[in-house]
Order: sequence, then structure tokens, then C-alpha cells
Amino acid sequence: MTQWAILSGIEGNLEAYEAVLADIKRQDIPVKAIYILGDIIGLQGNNEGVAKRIQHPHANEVKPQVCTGWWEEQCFDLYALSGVGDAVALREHYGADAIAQLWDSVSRETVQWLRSLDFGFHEEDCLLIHGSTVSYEDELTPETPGIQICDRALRAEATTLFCGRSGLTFEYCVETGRIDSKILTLEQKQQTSQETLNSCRVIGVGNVGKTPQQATYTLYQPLTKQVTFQTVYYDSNL
Amino acid sequence: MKLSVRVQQPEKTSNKNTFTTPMKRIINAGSVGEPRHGKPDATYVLYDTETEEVTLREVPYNYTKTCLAILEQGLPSIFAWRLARGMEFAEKADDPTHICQK
Repeated sequence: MTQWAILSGIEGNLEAYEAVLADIKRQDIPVKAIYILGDIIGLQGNNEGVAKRIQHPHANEVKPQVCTGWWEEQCFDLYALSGVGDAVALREHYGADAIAQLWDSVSRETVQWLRSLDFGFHEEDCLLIHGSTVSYEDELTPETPGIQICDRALRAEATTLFCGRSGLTFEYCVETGRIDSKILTLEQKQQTSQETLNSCRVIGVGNVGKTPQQATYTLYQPLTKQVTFQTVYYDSNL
Repeated sequence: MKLSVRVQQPEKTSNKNTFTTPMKRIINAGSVGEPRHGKPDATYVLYDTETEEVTLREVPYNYTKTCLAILEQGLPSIFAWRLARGMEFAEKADDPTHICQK
């Protein structure tokens, strides 16, 4: 039996990431894969340190698989590698100072590495992604309407969609679903059909770096499909 | 659409819910000048804003006159062909720049 560790939102918080890595090593069931669903950079301190730590794991560590998130997209926007080049979303959410802060804290070399990352991962019957297949900004939460959850899961072509945009830990299961449809054409022949949806779920994997001294992430056993949410408390003066 | 959902969060009670939600309607308004329903008649839609009822309309007209005008103007004959049949078959067009996807 093995499991995956799935995390998101390190946001430059190296201490939080180290605390999560230590927690992963403490697991009785060995963690054979680590997925980081974006937002490895942010305004929490040490973006370069986090980027290097992820790229160069220790000898006894699994090399994480990383995809891009909202913060990486802001960085690409700042470097005019995507978007319109004036980081509108970053300014709106975090103010003008955040632009200089992000610019100064991520080297061009690291930006090039971030650009090489994937948008998400399909593994077995799971999709692992920052937002959803709609967009990196798409925020799924426990309050998201069921119909929207169904839509995202269907688009994902996966039974389980792991996402990190909201930063929350949650499991949202659509256990049964049925769609009744009617089609009317010019010939006035009304066709009705009924479609049953397979059960699907969306997992919010938590956030590692945003809340000081408290990181959350997710463990997943592919064999049993069991999801476990982890909360790690750590000392920020390490 | 009927859904049964269950939402779980750490340190919170599991929330289970079954509900029926009305789905959306998609109405294709047809085409007056270039119909694609297998007949040359003009098509459009009437929408009753109070009852939200939709009526699909099909109006016959003298399309042969239009087809003749297309040919007289020297336009690709496929334009007249597809108008007369109400279907796409642009692969037969003499001018490949007019090729559309079926």
C-alpha cells in the first residue's frame, strides 16, 4: 500500500513546506508521489528558496511533480509571458506594492523553470490541477453549486478532481446524478432522454503556506481511493 | 437534473443533500438566408417573453429566384446548390476559399 501527498499554496513559505515534508516522512504508509498544485510562489517570504528546494530534493525524498497556479500566472503576466503584462489581478487583490515584491523575489531563471511546468496532471482516474479545467482562477469550494461541481468533474474526464485554488480542505461528492433532456425540432418530434451520471468528487487539498504556523495538505491512497486531510502545526522561528 | 451530493470538511458535520435543479435550454434560432436543416425554407424562432414558450418557425418562399440570382451574378454555383438543399456541401465548391466545415 502506498499513497500520494497532494499540496498547494506554499506561496514562498519555506518553513511551512519543510514542515509538510517532515510530516510526509512520518507517515506509516509510504508516500510514493508528491503533487504540488501550483502557487509555490507568493508573498510569504522565500520564493527562490522554495523553488530550489522543490527542484533539488534530498536524496531520500520523492521529487515533487509541480503544476502552475494563480501566483505563477501573475508572475508570467509581470514578465509579459502571458496575459496583458500589467498584472491587473495581482494589483486588484494585493495592491500595487505586491507587484514590486513579486518581481524582486523571483529570478528570471526561476521564471523560466516555472514556465516549463504543466497545467495539471491526469493520473489513473484523477485530475490534479490548481483551479479546474475551466481556468487556473476557477475557485471550487464547499459552497459551489452541485451543478457546477458536476460540470467541472465531467470536463475533467476524471472520477476525482483535486484542486487547490480555494486553499480549503474539503471533499465534495456527487453520489448520484440524473439528467432528463427534451429535444424539439422543426418536425415537432419531441425526443426525451435520460442520462445517469457516474459518481464523482472534487477534493480541495488545502494550503501550505498562507496561514502562519499551520499548513494543510491531503493524502490519497489510490488503491482504496481514501482521502485524508492533514494539518501540520510548526514553529515559524525555525 | 437530480443530484445527490455530500460535502465533508475537517472538524465539520458532513452535509448531505439531494435536490432537483432546472437545467438550461439551448435554442438554435435557425437561419433565414442559409438554412441547414435539409430544406430550403427560411427558419427563425418566436419567443413568448411572458410564458417563455419557444416556437420554431419555417417559412417557404421562392428560393429558386435567389438561386438563379446567385448564378446570374457569377457566384460559385455551390452557393445555389446548398441553398436549394438546405445543407452544407461546400467541398464541391470551385473556389476552395469558400470551403466550410460540414
